[in-house]
Amino acid sequence: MVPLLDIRNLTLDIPTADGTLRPVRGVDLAVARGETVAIVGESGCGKSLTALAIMGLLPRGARLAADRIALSQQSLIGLSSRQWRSIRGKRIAMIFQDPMTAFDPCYRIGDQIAEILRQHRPASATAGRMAAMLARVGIASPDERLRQYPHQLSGGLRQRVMIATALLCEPDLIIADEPTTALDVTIQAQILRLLVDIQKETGFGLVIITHDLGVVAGVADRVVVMYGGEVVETGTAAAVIGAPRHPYTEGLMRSIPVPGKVGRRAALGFIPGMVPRPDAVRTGCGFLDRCPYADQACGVGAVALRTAPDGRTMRCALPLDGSGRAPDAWTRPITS
Amino acid sequence: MSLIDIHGVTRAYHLGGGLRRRAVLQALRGIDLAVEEGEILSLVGESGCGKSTLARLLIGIEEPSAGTITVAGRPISSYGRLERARLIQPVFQDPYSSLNPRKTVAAIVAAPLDVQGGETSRSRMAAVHQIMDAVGLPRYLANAYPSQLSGGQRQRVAIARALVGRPKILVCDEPTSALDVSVQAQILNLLADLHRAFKLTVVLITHNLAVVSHLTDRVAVMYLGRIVEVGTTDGIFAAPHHPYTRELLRAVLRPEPGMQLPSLQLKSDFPSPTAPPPGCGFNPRCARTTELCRRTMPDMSPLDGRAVACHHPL
Repeated sequence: MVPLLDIRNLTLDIPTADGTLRPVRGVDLAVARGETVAIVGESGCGKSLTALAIMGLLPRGARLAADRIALSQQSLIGLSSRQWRSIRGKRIAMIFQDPMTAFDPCYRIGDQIAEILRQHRPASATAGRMAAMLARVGIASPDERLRQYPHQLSGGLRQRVMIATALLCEPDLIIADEPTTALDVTIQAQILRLLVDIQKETGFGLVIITHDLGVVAGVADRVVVMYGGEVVETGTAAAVIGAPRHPYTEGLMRSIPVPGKVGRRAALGFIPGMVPRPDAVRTGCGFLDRCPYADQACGVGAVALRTAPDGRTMRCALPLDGSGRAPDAWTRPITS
Repeated sequence: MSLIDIHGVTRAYHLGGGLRRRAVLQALRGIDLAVEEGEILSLVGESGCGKSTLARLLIGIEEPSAGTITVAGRPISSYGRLERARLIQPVFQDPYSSLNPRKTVAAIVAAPLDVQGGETSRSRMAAVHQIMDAVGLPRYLANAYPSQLSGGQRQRVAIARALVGRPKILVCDEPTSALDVSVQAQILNLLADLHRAFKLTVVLITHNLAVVSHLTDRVAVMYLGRIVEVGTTDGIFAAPHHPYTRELLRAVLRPEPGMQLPSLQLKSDFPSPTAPPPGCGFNPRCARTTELCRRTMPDMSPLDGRAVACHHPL
């Protein structure tokens, strides 16, 4: 089956005064209709830039190279800004992390939503249709909300408005970059539930970018773990969270306190050291300096993404067997 | 006697504003809470519940509108500024904005000593090095500037600055919320170690219930300027008595295979802090609301060795 979104070998180069940086290195990503794929990783892993590349919203000067970026078979490489405008908001919509800064504080909510509709579906830019969509995302008294300004809405409400805006043109694909990170936990659960419910009805593909493995467990069908600009592990969310096979994923899992799982104030695992600089040239495995399992072979040559018989992939010369081979490995003191 | 005793504390903010009316925001609406020496107590609740306001009152940068806060047997208002700083120190959320970018790590960490005075330059440097060792900052970073540090290192600097004067009480407001999870783990480990090594009493403000469960002995759950439930972490996590506490705990997404998104029993009628509803502050969102809840504010009453403010506890 042809995936809805198909990205092969996406690389981004950003020239700077200190040389060229490569924050995204050879990323593959496929999302089917109705599927939710989570991209997980920490600051600087390239997950947000990957999302911006899909939206055609790269920072000035960034150079994109890819074998393929296609939405339902249509290539998105080298589109003009005019062509992009007909895709963004209509076929691909984005939900940003911070609903405070994503809206313009000077305009009423209704005017900002109408702008999207005027761009893509002028005939349907009616207050009635907008109010119906706000009601669909659980906003009480939608007509009143349309007349308000962003600052008059709470964070949770603003995020609902953003979701409503994203849904208006019935996009094929929604990219949500940390959609609930700025929200309270109870609101987070409700917003995620809303996204999942509407996805069941309309069948959009969803890429959710997050650092929270709890969110991944709650909503994702598949997960893509990124580290240092590379995809280091993929698989179904249940399989990856249940038994990580890349040491980085395992380190992440061990560093999360889970109620009732680790003793009170018992040492949590952590990943020593720091994220590597995204230099264009890299020898050996990108996780080498921080990996408790690394041996000499890991420093030689780039590590390829390999596929296990069950379809999971991992970029590791010594993948874990999923049984938690060395539980102490992650609590050793930093030696550097 | 408890190390910190909070009694009947309220805090109102007068919102400047339109010509028509001057709104009053009741950030705290009658708080009673005791913090025992040597414990880690967490204040949890969602944004706007008043937890950070309570922290500001504890570190003395603001005063309550009514009520008293007693620390080590004396009202906190009777302490001088320096005296109070020797006893209580804060750690803030954002290590990017809480450190002066123009000062070196050593100068930032030593600032509390300089304010207190009475140190020779040698004893000052020794104290700085000692505390940097304790928080896991390599000494070669003493002359670095905050911009040269990672987020985790910055938060270590903030903790070192708080501890260099050997306070008894640490008030941490979301100390790990701005950090990546693998770095958060290091800071949580550090706080646990320092709590043991320095015999600290810690008040931890957070919205992250996993952090609460990992680090703290007791929990006070806040909603709309009131404490709605206080008890041991184990007790509350095992069987919450307040409906709000239960929904808060159900909302936690555990990173476990096959976890289902919870369907919360919460209405989305958010009460406004400038016009809190009569009766229980939680009543517009609660699934168990009755007429009584809309009329009468529930008092804290003991239940199972806990205190719960609810007419219909679970």
